[in-house]
Amino acid sequence: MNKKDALELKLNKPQITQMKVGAQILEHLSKGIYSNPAYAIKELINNAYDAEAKNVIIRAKPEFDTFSITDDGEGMNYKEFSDRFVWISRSDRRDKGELTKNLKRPIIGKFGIGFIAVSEICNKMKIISTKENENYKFEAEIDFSKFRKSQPKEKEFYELSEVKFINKPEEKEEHYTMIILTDLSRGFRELLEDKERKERGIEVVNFDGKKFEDIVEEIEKNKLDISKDVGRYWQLILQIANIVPVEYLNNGPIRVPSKDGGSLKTINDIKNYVKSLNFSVDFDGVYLKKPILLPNEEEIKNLGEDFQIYSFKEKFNFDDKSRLYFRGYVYNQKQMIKPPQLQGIILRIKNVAIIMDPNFLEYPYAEKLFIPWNFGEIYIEEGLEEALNINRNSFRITHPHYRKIENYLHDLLHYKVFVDCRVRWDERKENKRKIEEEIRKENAKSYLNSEFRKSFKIEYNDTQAKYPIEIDLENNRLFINKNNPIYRKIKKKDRNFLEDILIRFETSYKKSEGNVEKLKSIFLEGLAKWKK
Amino acid sequence: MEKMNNAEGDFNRKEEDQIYNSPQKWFIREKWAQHATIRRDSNRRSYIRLLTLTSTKTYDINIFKERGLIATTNSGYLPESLTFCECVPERYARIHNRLPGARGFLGTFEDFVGAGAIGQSKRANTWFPYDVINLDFTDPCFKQRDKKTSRTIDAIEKTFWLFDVSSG
Repeated sequence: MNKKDALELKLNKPQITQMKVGAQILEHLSKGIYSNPAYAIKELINNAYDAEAKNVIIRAKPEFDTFSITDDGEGMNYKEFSDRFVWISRSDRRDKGELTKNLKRPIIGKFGIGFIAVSEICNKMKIISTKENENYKFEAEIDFSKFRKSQPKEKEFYELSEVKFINKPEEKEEHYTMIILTDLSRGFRELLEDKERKERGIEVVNFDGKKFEDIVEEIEKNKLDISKDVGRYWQLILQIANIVPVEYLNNGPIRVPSKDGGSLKTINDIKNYVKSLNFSVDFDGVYLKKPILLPNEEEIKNLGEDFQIYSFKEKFNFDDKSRLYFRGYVYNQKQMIKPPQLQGIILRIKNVAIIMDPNFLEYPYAEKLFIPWNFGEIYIEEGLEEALNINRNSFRITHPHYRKIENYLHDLLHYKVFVDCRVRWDERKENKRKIEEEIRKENAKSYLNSEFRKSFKIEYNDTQAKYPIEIDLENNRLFINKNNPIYRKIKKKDRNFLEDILIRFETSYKKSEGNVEKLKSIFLEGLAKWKK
Repeated sequence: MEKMNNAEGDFNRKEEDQIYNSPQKWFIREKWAQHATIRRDSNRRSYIRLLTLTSTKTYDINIFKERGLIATTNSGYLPESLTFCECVPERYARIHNRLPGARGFLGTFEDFVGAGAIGQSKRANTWFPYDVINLDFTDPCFKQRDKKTSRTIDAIEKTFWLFDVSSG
């Protein structure tokens, strides 16, 4: 500790000192800030996007000996690489504005820590990059493994790795960046290979050799639960596809117009905007698209196109002069969305998904029943970035922008979406009740027809009657007196049950003509045949 | 055998293209493809299993693919139909970029088959046998550093041995 840092308090004499951050914090950070390798890989893809790449190629399969990412972006020379990446957290990406130079893409990089991510998934990395109009490329070799042990606490900076640089000749017209990861960390490799599930004999769906569109169709058609039915490698691909700024599927995210028409406009605007970013990712030959496709084809067939879309576009100004602009939509259908991974809300900043929250940002009202019926996306166009945590996949929930979005979403759900849900829920219940009633009527009719060999009519009566059930054999009618006190004493769900028993009893009574033994026998026989 | 590139470990686009795009190479490739077609037709499989030392433009594989000799999928190649060996990381990544789904070995062919050593690489152990092995060497077979015997020649011998062992 420096002498000037030493605190030596004397009685009644105030002393001021500074609170500081030790270099050790970097050691902790560099050991891992991402909960999932998908987020680490996302950082590399985002770097390519910020470098104005149009195509990113990722290769890992089939052996996972190496993991390479190549992009056709503007590239870097060794100086830029050194400034941006060798010094972690010294990102200069936004020094010249919030948009990229030529393609005018909103710049994603902010913290300059993306490369820390790499040390989490491999021990060795090689970077080769060149810029257009420069007749050389640089190669940098980094070995993270040498620096995995703890370093002295007094150090001002934390050494993450040793970087070996070399410049080599290259064609002037070339521009690219190639990152080759070798000696992949054991955990990452085992995850890609799905080793644990294989060892436990858990069967998972294999999408090898298929196109992305077909994979999504298969998940949707077979209502697969991605976290259970799909292997870890494919989970990773689907997660990355959802996070990075690649375009939507041709028929996605919502494949048919909603009932009220017109509300697909905001979605189409978003879809066209994302497409205009002109960014493609080829992951082991699979061209990624946003894996969102609703509603399920089977649901359209069976239930009709019964869903709603609630689009929005909002601007808010804050006291500190900051602004929050966002647009998006909530899709709602009248039953649970499958796969479950499409239940919830996605928040995207600069077109990158930050969170996918199945609880709609901790929805506070007692309407949890409707939550799994909904999916939504919010594209933040301005603001909220300050609320981002360093891992870029969570927010500080106390930030005013986050609070605003949370409240806006909750109000939208509570006062609009779920109000409609309730109406639809009631409609659905009423329809279900009517259908059940019809079936019950038919069953009762067929029972009476077979017992008396006559064609009966069934009538429901609202008047106060002496008996709950009456059979009129002269006019071939069965009266069900709904307001008879006997029905009031039991629970609603047990009424049908009681009704059936009473019909059988009344039938036995009529058929037995006062003979108690006969009544008993017919009644018990009727019950034995009775199917609930 | 021709010598390629200024130093081992480098990738020079122009030099590579001069070597791999020569008329002689195209003539040989054509003969290879004809032979591979016969081989495929005599196999029970509808495709051949190819091991190749290809270039970053994968000329030989392109011909094999055009003629339906190697198996492809909707997202690339069937792993057991195609293997490539390359020791220069940049070249390895460029080749792999063109061949999604293919098996790749980042190392020399000699390392792959375990030339001059007991046994072979873990990969060769599980990937052999192949129907066609395209050993299109671009380095001298007898290198200065190979003091007593040529490691490349050892590798070729080992390949035949591996083929015998893996074919049962």
